[in-house]
Amino acid sequence: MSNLVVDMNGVNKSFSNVQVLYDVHFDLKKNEVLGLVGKNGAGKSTLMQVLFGLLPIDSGTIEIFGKKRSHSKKALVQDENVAMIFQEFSLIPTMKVHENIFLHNLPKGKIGFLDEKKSRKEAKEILNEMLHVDIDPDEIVGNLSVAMKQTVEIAKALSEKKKIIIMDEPTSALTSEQVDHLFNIIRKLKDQEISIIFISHNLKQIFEICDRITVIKDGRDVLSSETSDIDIDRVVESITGGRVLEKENDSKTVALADINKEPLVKVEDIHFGTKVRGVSFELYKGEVLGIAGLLGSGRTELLEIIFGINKPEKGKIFFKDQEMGNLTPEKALHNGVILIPDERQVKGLILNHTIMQNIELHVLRRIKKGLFTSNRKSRDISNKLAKDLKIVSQGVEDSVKSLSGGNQQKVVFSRTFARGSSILLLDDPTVGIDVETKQEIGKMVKEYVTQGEKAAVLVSSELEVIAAMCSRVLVIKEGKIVNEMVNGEENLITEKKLVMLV
Amino acid sequence: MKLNNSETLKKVKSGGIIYIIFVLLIGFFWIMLGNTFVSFDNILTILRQTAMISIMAIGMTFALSTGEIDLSVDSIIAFAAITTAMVLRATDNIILSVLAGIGIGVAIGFFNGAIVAWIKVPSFLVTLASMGIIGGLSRWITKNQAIAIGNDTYNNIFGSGDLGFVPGLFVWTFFVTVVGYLALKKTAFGKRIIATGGNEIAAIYTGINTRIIKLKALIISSTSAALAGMLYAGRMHGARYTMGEGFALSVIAATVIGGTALYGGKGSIIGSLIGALVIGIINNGLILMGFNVSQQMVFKGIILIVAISINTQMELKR
Repeated sequence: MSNLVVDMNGVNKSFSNVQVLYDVHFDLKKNEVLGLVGKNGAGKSTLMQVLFGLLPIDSGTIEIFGKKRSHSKKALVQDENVAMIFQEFSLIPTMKVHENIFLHNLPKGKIGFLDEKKSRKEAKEILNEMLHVDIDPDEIVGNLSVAMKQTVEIAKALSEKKKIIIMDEPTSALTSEQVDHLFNIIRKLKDQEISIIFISHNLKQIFEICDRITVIKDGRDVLSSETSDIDIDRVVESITGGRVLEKENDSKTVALADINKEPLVKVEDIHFGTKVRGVSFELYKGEVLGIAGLLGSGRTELLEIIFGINKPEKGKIFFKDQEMGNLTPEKALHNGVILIPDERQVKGLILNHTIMQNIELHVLRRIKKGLFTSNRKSRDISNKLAKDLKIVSQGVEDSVKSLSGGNQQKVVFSRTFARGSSILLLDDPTVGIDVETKQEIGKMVKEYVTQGEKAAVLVSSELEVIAAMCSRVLVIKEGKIVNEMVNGEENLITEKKLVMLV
Repeated sequence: MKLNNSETLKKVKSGGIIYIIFVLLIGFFWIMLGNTFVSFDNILTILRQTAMISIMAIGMTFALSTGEIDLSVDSIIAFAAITTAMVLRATDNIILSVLAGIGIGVAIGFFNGAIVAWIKVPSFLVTLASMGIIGGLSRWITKNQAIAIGNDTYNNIFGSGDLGFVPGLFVWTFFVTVVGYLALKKTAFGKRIIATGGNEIAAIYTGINTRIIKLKALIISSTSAALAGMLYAGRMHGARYTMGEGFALSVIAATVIGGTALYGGKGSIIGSLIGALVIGIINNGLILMGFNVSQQMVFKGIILIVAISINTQMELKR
C-alpha cells in the first residue's frame, strides 16, 4: 500500500504557449513535512496551484490519497483534502478572528442560526491549545499584525481538517519565537497524520523542520532528497544551477563608517506613541547602518518618521545639520532621502499599473518636455532601469501584478536610482524574495553607498543579511536602541551575536 | 466600418468596448430612423445637447480617477447659472459674471475637497450633502423664480451662438476635451491623479500629496459643472433652480461606459466624451422614435445596463 498522499507524474503545464512545468514529478508522503524550494518564477507556485485545484494541467497524472484526478477543465474544483496558506492572506479584514476561522463552516445552533459562543470557544481551542498564540477571537482581523494574520490563516486550515496543508512562505513575517511555535505546531500536525508542504526561501528553516526537500528549477524537478542526506550548499547549487553564491560577510568588504566627519542624518530623542520611545542615532557617509530588531520593535515606525510619513510627538531630525520641522515625504525626497517600504504590494507598488507607470512617478521632472510629459522619455528611463536592475518581465508596459516577488521588489527599489537619492532607508528589503535577487540587491546597496555623499539604513529581521551588509548595527527592542555593534578586525558582527541580542 | 484592420482592433481593445457600442447605436438608429437621424441638423442637435454632459463627464473623470466622486454637480449647474445670471443682471458686465460663475464652481469644489482631504469624510457623503445645501441655496436666493439673461453677447458666447456653422457648444466641448486630455495624460499632475486613485498609500510613499490631489480633482469636477451651468444659462437665456436635475447619473454613466474605473486608478477623457455622446445619441434617438418620457426612461436604463455590462465583461477578460 502506497505511503504517498500525493503522487504527481509527468505534469506539463503551459500558459498560452509559454511552458512553465516540464514533465514534473512530485510526491508527498504521509506524515511528512516536505520543503519545496526554488527561485521565484521556477514554477513552485504553479505546481501548488495545480495541486490545490486552481489550475488544470496539459498532461500528466495527479493522484491524491490514491484517487486519480480528472483532467477536464469543467471538473476543476478545489481539492477537499488540500488547504493552502498564501503569502497574501485570504482573510476578510473587516470580520472577527473566529468568523474568519470558521468562514466555510460556521458553527450553527439548534434552530439553524449561527452559534457565536461555540464559534468563539472552538476558535480559542485552536488558537490557544494547538497554536499557543494569544489572539482574541473577537478581534477584527484587519487590526492584527501581519504575523498574527498568518496564524489565523493556519487556524482556519486546521478548522477545516484538511490532511494536506501547503504553506507558502509562512515564516517571512514571524519573529523567531513565533517561528519556533509554528514549527512545534507543524510537528504536532505530523502526529495527527497531516502532511505539510513548506515553501520557503529560508534554507536554514527548511533544514530545521523538513524531512525531505524538493527543488524546482526552470519548471523541472531537479532534486528530491531526505534533508538528512544532503547539505545546504548542494541545495543552493541545484536552485541556482551550479553556482555557489558567495557569502559576503568578510569584514574587509564591508565599509567602515567615517565617524570623524559630520553625520548625514542625525536623529535626536524621537518619540512616537508606544512604538518609538526615545531613539537617537547618527548616520555617516559611506556606511550601511543596520537596525536589527523583531517585527513590532518600532523599526518600521522609526524609518517612516525619518521619511516624514509619521509625525513624532517629540524629538528632532537633522539632514546634513539642517533641522527638519514638519517633515513630509515630499520634503524628505527633496533632501535626497528615500524609503524602500516593507509590504511592497501595499506601500510600494500600484498593482494595477504597469512597470513604467510605477517608475515614472519618481522621474516626473525628468520626463517633462515643456508643459507636458513625454511618454518616450518615460519609456526610455524605465527600460534602462529595468535593464540595469535585471528586471524580468515582458516589457515595461507589463503590469506589475504579474511579476514575481523578487522582480516586484526590484521595481520598488528602482526608485533609488531613478531619483539618485543619497540616503536610503530600507525596510526589510529582502523578505520573501529568492536568494539570487537578495544577493543582487545587497550588492547594489553596498556599491551605491560608496559613491559620493551617500549612506543607507538597513532594517531587517533577517539577521544574516544584516551581518553580511552592515559595518555598524543598532539593536532595537520595544522602541529603544539597546545595543550598538561596530565591525572591527577582532569583533566581527555575526548573525549569532545578533540573534542573542534581539 | 470594417473592423478587420489590426490597428483599429488594438484601439478598440485598449479603449474598451465603448467604440463598438457607439458605432452599433448609430447603426441602430440609422436603420430605424433613416435620414431624420443622420441629417446634418440632427447631428448638430446631438452635439449641442451633449455638450454639457460631455464637459461635466470630463471633469468627473478627474474626480473618479482619484477614487472619489462628485454628486453635487447637479446642484452646481443651477447655482452657477443663477449666480452668473444675477451678476449679469446687476452689473451687465460679462467678465464679472463669468468670474462669479467659475468662482462659485471653484469655491464649492474647494469646500467639498477640503472636507474630503482633511476631515477625511468619504466624498460620496460630502458631495451628497453639499448637493442638498447648494440646491436649497438656489431655491432660496431666487425665491423659485427664473432669472432671465438679456445680454445677447453672453448668450452668444456661452451657448446659443455658432462659430460659422459649428455650434458654439461644440467649440466649448472640444476645448474642454483637449485641455482635459492633455492634463490627465500628458502632465505630471495627471499622473499623480491616476497614482492617487491606483493605490493611495503607495502614492504617498512616492512623495505625492494625495490630499491636495484629491482637493484639486474635486475642484476640477465642480468647476466643469459650473461651466456647464453657465452654458446651459446661455442656451436657455436664463437660469432656474430646476436646471441640471438628474444630470449626475448620466455624467457618471458616461464616464463608466467610457472606461473610467469607479474605484480609481484608471481614467479616459476620450472615453468619457464618447460615453457622453452615447448617452446623447440614446436620448436623441428615443425622442425621434416617438417614445414618451416614461418610455424613454425605461429604454435608456436598459441600454445603459447592457452597455456597462458588456464593457465590464470585456475589461475583465483583458
